[in-house]
Amino acid sequence: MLVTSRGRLLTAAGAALALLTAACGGSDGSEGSAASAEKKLTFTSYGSGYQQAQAESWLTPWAKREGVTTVQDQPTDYAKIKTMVDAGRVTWDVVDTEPYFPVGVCGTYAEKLDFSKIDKSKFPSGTVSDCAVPDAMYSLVLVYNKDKYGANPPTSTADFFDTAKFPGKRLAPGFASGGAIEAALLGDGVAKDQLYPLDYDRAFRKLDAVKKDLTFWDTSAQSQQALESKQADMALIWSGRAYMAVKNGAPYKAAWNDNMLAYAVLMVPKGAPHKDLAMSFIAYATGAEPQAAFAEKQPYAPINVDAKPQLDDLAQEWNTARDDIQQAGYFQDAAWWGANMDEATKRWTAWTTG
Amino acid sequence: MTATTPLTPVAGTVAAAARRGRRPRGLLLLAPALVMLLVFFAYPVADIVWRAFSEPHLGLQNLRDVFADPVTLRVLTRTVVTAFGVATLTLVLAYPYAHLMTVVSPRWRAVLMALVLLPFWTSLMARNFAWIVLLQDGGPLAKLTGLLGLGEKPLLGTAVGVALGMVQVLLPYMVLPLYSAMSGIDRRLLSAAASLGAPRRTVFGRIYLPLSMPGVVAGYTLVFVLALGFYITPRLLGSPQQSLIAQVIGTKVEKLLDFGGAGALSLVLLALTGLLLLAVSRVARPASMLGLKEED
Repeated sequence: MLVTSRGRLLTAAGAALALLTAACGGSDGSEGSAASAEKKLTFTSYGSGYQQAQAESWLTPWAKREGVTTVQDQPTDYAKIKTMVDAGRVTWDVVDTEPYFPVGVCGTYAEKLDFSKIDKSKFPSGTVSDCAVPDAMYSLVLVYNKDKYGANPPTSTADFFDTAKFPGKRLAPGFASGGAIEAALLGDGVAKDQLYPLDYDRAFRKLDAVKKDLTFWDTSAQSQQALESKQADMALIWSGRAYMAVKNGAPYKAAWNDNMLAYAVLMVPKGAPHKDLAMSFIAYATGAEPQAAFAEKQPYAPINVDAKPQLDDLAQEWNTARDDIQQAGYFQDAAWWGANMDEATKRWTAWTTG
Repeated sequence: MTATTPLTPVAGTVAAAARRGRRPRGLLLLAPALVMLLVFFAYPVADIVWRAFSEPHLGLQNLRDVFADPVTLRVLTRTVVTAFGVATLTLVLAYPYAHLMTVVSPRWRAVLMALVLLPFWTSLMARNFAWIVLLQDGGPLAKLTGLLGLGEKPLLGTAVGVALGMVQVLLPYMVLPLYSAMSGIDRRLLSAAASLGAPRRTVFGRIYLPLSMPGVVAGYTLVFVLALGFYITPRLLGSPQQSLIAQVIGTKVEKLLDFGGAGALSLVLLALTGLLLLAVSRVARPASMLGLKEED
């Protein structure tokens, strides 16, 4: 009996693998025929509406202007970039990533950018590095259920940690670089410009104090779902997801004080086959008009200071490019995270699983 | 006589040739699967093992880190405990279900089989998000515990929530081997035992249970091994407090590009699975043989 079922299992596994090869063989053949000398660019991002808006506002008009064939892939995967570069077979030309990644691997897994082609004067200060420029902006912001707190709502990160004055369930990012460590330090009285290097012990002491009321989100879709079903009274959440939840009727408001401004970047994997085209595309995508067009299609804000998107009232309320939001916030330090991701992740994992 | 004797060696060679011919053809049929296994299983596994010992430099440091890090050990222990719990709960739920499948009419059997297979045809992500809705505060399950007088328990982000989701996903892997073992049991043996005066409990304990053991062992092992490597369900239904080893490996690969460290962890997991399978093969054979021996 055991033998037959094992035999059947093997047969099934064999069949599945055979199907897999058939599928792989097909895609391999079509890709191999395209020579790398062609005017072709492969753009990789995180998929969904975000990448669709990037394609419509940046990729398509740029490709038309330059006469380039474009290919898209998804999702962004750092392990894949490492594997491609290590194997010397890079197929991605431009990739949308988090800022810490190209900073940490600049020169090893990321190409230096050509700033004779890309105008870096139009970005907020501190967001440009040798291997990456920002392409979309958002913020990790404190939102609260306005029905629950009524006339006396929380106004700053310190209130997130004050469970006596503001009882209720909290929701925070469940990964090291998500911003919970920064928020804890701000809540403990550290000034915005004194955050880095992060004091882990102090941050975890502060987080310990609210641990029993604290839940975590791991994917941004999950965080939006949590707001829409009112699972948290207060949440540290990406502005774009909060905006979408509110648009769908979730009763939340933002307290922009101490919001952590964050941004996505465009980078070029080391040894990318169409480097020159990549620089030309990055220069175009980060220009004022494509940035405005992008911002009008999805909830992330433009990163080019000259971009003037036409937004409705609700979108404008969550537009992190707004002056007052910028003034109230601070930029997460990508350079520090690029250098300290290992240690911070280790400490974070130790704290969360403890 | 004289006519047949010269024929025999000829017939013999033909038969031998046919036998020989059948074997290479059999191997030929196996070849695609073997090539696949080599390319998509053996090679990647060898690569992972090699990286565990060679990145960032040659040596045992990655393996040493696994055993020196209390956090990793804690997560590893939790993963094994969770896998045992999930496999046991799955068995408890699946055993009566599989038995029911063997005694109902063919039409009802088809319905029960379809219910088991339904999850296979549903996207894993859709199922996980459905579980989020079921488990969340004020959700149906929380209401149920409230009605039972236990108070509205939080389930989302807890070990219980993760276990429930995993059991549902893994149930088919337990039901199918159980059903296949149980449907092969000769029911006349049960009648015979009853007619000889054995009470129902004895019939079950001394005949039915031992005969269904191969299915129990196969299902339990399958579910346990699959549960060891669960990734998406604990990520979405759990919280970092209950993270399992696959999530730690995932973070090492995706965020830290620490292929060596991830490789060492995978190696430990692989060794653990191998040891378990070895132990099971030792335990399973005597058990199933015992069941058969008692018949003779």
